[in-house]
Amino acid sequence: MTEIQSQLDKKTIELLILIDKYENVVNNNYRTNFINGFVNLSKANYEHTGRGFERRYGVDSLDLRPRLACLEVNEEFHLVDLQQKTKKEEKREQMESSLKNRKTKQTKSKSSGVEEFEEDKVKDPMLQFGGIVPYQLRQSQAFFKKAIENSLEVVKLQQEIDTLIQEIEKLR
Amino acid sequence: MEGLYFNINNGYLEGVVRGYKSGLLTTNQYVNLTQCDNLEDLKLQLSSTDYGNFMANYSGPLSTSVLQDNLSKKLFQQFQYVKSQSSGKLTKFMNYINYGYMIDNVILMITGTLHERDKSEILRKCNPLGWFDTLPTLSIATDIESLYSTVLIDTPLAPFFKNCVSADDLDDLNIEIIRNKLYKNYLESFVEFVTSEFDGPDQEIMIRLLTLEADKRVINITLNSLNNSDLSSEDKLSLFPSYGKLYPTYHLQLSQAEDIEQLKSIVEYIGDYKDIFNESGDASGLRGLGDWFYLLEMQFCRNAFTQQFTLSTVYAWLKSKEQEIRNITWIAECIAQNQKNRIDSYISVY
Repeated sequence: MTEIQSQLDKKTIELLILIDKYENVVNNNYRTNFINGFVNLSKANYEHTGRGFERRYGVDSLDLRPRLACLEVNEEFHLVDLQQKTKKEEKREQMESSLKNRKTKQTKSKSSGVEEFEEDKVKDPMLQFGGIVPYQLRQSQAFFKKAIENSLEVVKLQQEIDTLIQEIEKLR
Repeated sequence: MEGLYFNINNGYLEGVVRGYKSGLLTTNQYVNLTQCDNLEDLKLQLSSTDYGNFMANYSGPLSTSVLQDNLSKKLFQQFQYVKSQSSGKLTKFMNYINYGYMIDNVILMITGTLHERDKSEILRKCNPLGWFDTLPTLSIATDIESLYSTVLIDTPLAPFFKNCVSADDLDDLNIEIIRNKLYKNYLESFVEFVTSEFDGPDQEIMIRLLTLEADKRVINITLNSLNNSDLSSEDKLSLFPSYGKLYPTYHLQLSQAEDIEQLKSIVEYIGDYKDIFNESGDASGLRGLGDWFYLLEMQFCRNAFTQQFTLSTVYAWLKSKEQEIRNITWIAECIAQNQKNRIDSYISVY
């Protein structure tokens, strides 16, 4: 009886800690990252060096062509930045191929470049808004990226809280 | 001397433009706008200004982009009124103003087509100040060479395409390079027009404003491409307009600058721009940069109205009106996003 009671207490304390963590993440980070992301987006629209009012940075100017995602959630529920991954692989390939035939290297990359790049290359989504974008837009992107990490944390915490609640009910 | 013959052709229009200028929002009116609680309130406050019933024909849900569209329609109406009654030098001057917006529209069409957006949607977003008849035909965009030889060669933008036409594929970075090269050529041509056709206070005011524009572009291109390895320093140098206080002494150094500290140290050589990085000197360091340039531009525009018998009042009024629309849009965004603590970053000089 007392063992069950102590287990129940332990799990309840765990639950309270998790709920506190959840509130913290949602109120302090998740919310503010989204708010800052949107405010910086408005600031970028306010200050962009274009002369018209075509709302250059927003839903209306997205690139609608199909392309690969830049961030991926793997099996361990971690965020993987595919852009960094492809950059590292490209660097490694360049270093390897520079040790081999120097003459044939250039022609090889040109012929395979045109077909593969369009489909396989992971591009920075910032480029759809132009080659040279205001720094506020980059800040906005950074905030939204953090918000994505926060949303992953939120979902994880929600799942853990749910399982804990189920376990507590079973013990009762 | 300009006072003797100016009013024959341009007296009425200068009067009209000064009337428009006196309808620009003052600091007190901006304070009233910042105290609105929602967009409906804002619309109500604006109806008691020069904008009047600018949203009378709109009945859907209110959003900041709808507000901005209707404000800019009013601007366009006023500009068209002045242009349709202008003659001679003033018409040429206003055409030059239009060319800048035409460049933006051309790039918008090309980008929108490449991004597979609907043509009618893109055309709706084009700036009416830069409209020309063959603009819709740009949706056949494949590469810049064919576009130039089929469509753009017959437009007034044709002379600005020197050094821009290349057989490269149109991707986002190349389009940006084309946009900036076009604008560089346009600005240099505008300066030539002003130096040859204008004189006296007209020339002085326009040169001051165009110098600021050129320097602003150089600094912004440098700043926004600091960490971008895809743009080489020769490319950057070819995007800088050959004009302004930073030309020619500092352009090479700026194109090779690799971090913000280098940029700051180069820009501080010019006395007028010494404060731009100082005023915003907090940890983020850059918050006030764009605002600082807009403030300087607005001060020059306000001072432009102190001279009489000048055509530059049209340009000064247009820039002031654009800044006003930017301000109102910012206030509307802050109200809509419930971020009233940032609402005071608008710029008001009248």
